[in-house]
Amino acid sequence: MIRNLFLYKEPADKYQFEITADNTASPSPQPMENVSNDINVNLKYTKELFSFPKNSDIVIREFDISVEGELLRGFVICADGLAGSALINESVLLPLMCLSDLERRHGESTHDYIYRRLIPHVRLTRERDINKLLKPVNYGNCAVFVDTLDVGFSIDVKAWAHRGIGEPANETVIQGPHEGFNEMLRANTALIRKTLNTPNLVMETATLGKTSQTYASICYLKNVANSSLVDEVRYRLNNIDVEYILSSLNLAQYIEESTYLSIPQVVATERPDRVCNALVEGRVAIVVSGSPQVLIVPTTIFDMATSPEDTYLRLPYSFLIRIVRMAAIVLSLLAPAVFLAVMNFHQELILTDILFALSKARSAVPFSSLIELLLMELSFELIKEAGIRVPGPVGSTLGIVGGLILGQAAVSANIVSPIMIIVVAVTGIASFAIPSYQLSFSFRFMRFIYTFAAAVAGFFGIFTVMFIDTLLIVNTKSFGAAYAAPLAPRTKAKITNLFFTEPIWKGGRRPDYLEPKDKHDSAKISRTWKYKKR
Amino acid sequence: MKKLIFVICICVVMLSGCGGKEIDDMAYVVAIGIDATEGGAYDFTFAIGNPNSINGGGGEDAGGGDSNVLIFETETGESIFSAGDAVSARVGQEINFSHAELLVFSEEVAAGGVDNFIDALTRNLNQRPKLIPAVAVTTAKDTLESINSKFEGNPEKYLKKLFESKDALTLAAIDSRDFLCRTKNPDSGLAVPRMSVGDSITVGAMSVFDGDTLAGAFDDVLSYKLLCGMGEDITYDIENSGSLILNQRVKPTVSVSCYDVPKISITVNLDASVASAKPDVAKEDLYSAAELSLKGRIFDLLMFSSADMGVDVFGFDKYARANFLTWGKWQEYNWREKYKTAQFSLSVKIKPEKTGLITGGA
Amino acid sequence: MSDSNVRKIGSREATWFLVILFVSKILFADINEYINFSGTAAYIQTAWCAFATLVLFVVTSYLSGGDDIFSASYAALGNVGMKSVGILISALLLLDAGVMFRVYADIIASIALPDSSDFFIILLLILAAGVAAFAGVGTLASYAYIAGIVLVSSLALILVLNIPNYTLSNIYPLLGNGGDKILSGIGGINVYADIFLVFLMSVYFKKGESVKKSGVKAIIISGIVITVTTFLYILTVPYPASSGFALPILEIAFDVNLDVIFQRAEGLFLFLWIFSGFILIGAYLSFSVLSFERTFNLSDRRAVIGVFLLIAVCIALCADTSSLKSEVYTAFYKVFTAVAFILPPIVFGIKRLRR
Repeated sequence: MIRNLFLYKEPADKYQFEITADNTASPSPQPMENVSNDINVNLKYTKELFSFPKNSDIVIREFDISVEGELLRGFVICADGLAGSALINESVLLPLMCLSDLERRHGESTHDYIYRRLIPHVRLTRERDINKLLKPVNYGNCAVFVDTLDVGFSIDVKAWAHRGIGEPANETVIQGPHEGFNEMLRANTALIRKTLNTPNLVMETATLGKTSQTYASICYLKNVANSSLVDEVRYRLNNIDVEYILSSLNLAQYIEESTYLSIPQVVATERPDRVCNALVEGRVAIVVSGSPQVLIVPTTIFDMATSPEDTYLRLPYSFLIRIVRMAAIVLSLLAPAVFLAVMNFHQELILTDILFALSKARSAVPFSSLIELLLMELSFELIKEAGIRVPGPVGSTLGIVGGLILGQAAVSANIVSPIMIIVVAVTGIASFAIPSYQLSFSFRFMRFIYTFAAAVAGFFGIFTVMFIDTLLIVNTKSFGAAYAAPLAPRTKAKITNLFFTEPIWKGGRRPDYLEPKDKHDSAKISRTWKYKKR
Repeated sequence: MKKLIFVICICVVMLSGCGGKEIDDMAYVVAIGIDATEGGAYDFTFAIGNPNSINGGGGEDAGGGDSNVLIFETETGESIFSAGDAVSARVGQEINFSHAELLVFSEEVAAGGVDNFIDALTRNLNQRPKLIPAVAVTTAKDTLESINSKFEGNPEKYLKKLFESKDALTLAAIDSRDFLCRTKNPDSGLAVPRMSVGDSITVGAMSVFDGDTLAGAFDDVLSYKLLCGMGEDITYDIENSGSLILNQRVKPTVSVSCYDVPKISITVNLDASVASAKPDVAKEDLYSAAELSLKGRIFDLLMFSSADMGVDVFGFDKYARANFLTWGKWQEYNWREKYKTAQFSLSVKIKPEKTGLITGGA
Repeated sequence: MSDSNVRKIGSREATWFLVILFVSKILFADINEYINFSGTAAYIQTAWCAFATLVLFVVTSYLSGGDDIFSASYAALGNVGMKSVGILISALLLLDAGVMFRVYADIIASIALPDSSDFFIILLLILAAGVAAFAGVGTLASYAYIAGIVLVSSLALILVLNIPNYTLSNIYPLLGNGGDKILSGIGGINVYADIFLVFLMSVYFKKGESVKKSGVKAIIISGIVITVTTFLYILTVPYPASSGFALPILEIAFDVNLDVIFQRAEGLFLFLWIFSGFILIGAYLSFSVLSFERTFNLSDRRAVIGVFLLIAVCIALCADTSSLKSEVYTAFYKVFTAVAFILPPIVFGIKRLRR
């Protein structure tokens, strides 16, 4: 009664969860190396390994096969959704269950009989190591075990749903192929092989990540690519001690030389033609399963700034495009910084007409130029990021809201001056004109550093940062090749084609910083039709 | 080491605020006038551009002819910069000389020597060397206040067009850097525009400086321009005959022989087109009349500079130096004194260029 | 940052590296020294100094026989001698870096950041020079190859844009202050004092590349650039006014009338001057550290870079008044020039004699 005098009611016990340290050992089967003759042992190991039947997408189908009147037990294991049921039915269950009772040849063992005569599938392997049989089940294979046999069979029956070959999302061209890579490893390697249909094209397999066991292909032309370069790629890929690598862009961060530099040291591309061009030059490509970006190593800053379309367009057009691109690079990096430097430190440099116009435009704005610029840059970055994630129907509205209304409203409210909007807009447009998405991202980052440097010390600050930035670029290497090659260090290669396109028939030499086995990719006179007598 | 670099970066960023002023926090002086006062100090008049009234930047006000495009502030002081500081304190914006186009001295100031003003402005970073010195007939203040850009909203552009346009008849300006260089040359003088006040500023004469001190004036600007090779699109009227458009495509050929009395030979080559001709006047007569007339004018100017003023305004010392191998020998010759007795041999050649759409007189 | 000690360079990179070190001197008042001496014949004096430097260098490189100065001094003077030479070179270059910090900071404060303090500017210079020192001589030389071409092109652009302002009669009288003055103006070789750095750089050269070839090319290229620039400066600014400007090339840049977005070409000069300054100071620091490393056989030179930077800054902050700075600068450069042109031939000569 006293307890309830003040109508106190004890609160009901509510469920509260806290994660605590888990010291329980994860259940794992007794380790096993080789396939056992006893099917029960294999079955037990398989069920424990895959946590069957808890793991609901793993399918184990037991069956009997009859070999010369003798009934042998067997089972097949596959992952539902990854393996194609129809393929398993036709290639495995049908022949083994219905057609197995054929006459064996004299001296032919049971596993030879099954391997050579029963299972009609092109990608069939037999293994003694049970783990090598069971591992690929997670990747669309099925594994078959038969009683009394100390080998098992692994059959590639991949049939999972995937995206088709479409246009590359981030590297569109007007003229040229419109095929792009997708998430299927074999589809991607097929795109490369059908373009470079030479037996010298090698696609070595590598496995990445202890848990993810992601497959990757190291592609190179064995008669061109430098062996030490290929060895280095292989070495780096095989010496990444990590649980999972889910995409090629993750892999790029593991294998590049310096993570803290803003410039990428590995090219990631969605275009097969770009990869083929790189392979012909003597580079190495890494295709990773589950990722439509293929990595190309080594790379230089000049490769980053080129687009595959440069070779598809005729010389006068590609020359113009290069000029525009160089202007875009300079504008996207330096426009806001130079503007800020001139406005705050070097007013004597600009024409008096422009000076008075700028002064008048800025007179009503309460913020300093730096804050104004940062506000506009931040808004632009927000619009860009939102534009990536916004749902389709709302996308066009975002453009109108962001671009027109916000910009116009900001000027009318005297938050920013019109000239600042122009500068930021031109910078943003210029950054989209850079062909490499990674490079443009690097410039987006560096632009802020240049802007701060300009706000601190005008042109002196800009040049200080430019000096450090370019020195770091010269100092960087990408898989043994200097990042600023062939300019720094200067090699024997021509440098005019770094900045201006040359006629395509003037090619001839592969990049010498790659030290390829074959230094020439075409004859000195490639247009023999011009000089041959008919 | 990365941490140290990072710390230095932070320090640098936090030290920002070391310099850097917003563009609208400054008052841009377009023209400077210097008058003498009785106490020995100077009256400095600054013509400051008013951005809100000047065309451009989406401005809605008409700039041309609006007197508010320039704001005039006058301050007494010993130097331009101390006067500028006082004005800055008054107007609330820092005075910036980097876009100044015109520097006007009154005759009294010019007669006392202008080296300290030019030196101060050139030594200081703020000023840029395209500043044009000139001398005012009345006071510098009045001259500046009469600047009236009827067709141009931006007063700085107006002054630039006025003084730098090559096709203007009566204007021949040098900039302050040239002024400084030539004042340091003991052997020659220079001429700057002489500005008088009317409805607007007019320039119809030149003031002569010997070193940095005013030495005299002359009003035959046309002859001066022809002797300096600045004649372009000049309409020359010949009395009772017609008029020609003269173009000086090459500089005059000058050769100087340095005897006891220096002999200076000048050949002025001009290309002429007929602007107008009286019906009874032949083209050839027009040309020869022009040659004669110009020769007389130019010769008068030469004799004035030599015998009357004794200042080599046209820079003939550059040609005279070619006669000497070393600077020592040149200085021994004493060109400054020798010029006063120089003998001139002048030739004016007019080459007909085109007659226009009418083929000429009877 | 990777250790670029093993980055090999070719003679082209070494050439342009040296060209930047030489040509950056004329961006200061060194042209005034020539003009004060020879008057309107300053360009003849510059050509004469270039020729004299070439002769001295060819003789010295012949005596060197391809060796660098450390191994030569070890062979000539033993361990103690080598250490003395190494310490002397390291100390001189460090002093040079310190003096340059101050000089550059002063001039940048005059021409670009008049409202900033010297210390703030020196901080930014430290940042750039420190990064250059960490990058190492090999990277700096590779960088200088691109930078050299760009900087010389910028200088050429300034000179070309100035064509309307040239007055040929400014070169009279032809012999200026006289032939004897021109010949006795050999002190002007201080512009090329950095040529001795090529004997420190030889360990970085790729196999088959020639130290002598790079030095000769560098002297010829920079001799042409300096002579042409001096000549064109004299054409623009008449004597005797031409000897009065602190930054002659800046005056030429002022004269360019662009009237397209920017009014004049000072931005080009700023670009040229600041970049060459960074490379110059970075080079002095790098070579100072390199000398120290070679003298004491250090395993990792990067450990001492911070200390060297600190010492250079302390030197930079020593001189307060402008007259003291100017006296220090002049005196120092006389010593530096003397050591640069006398020490290598002596060391190489002794080594040859001892063989």
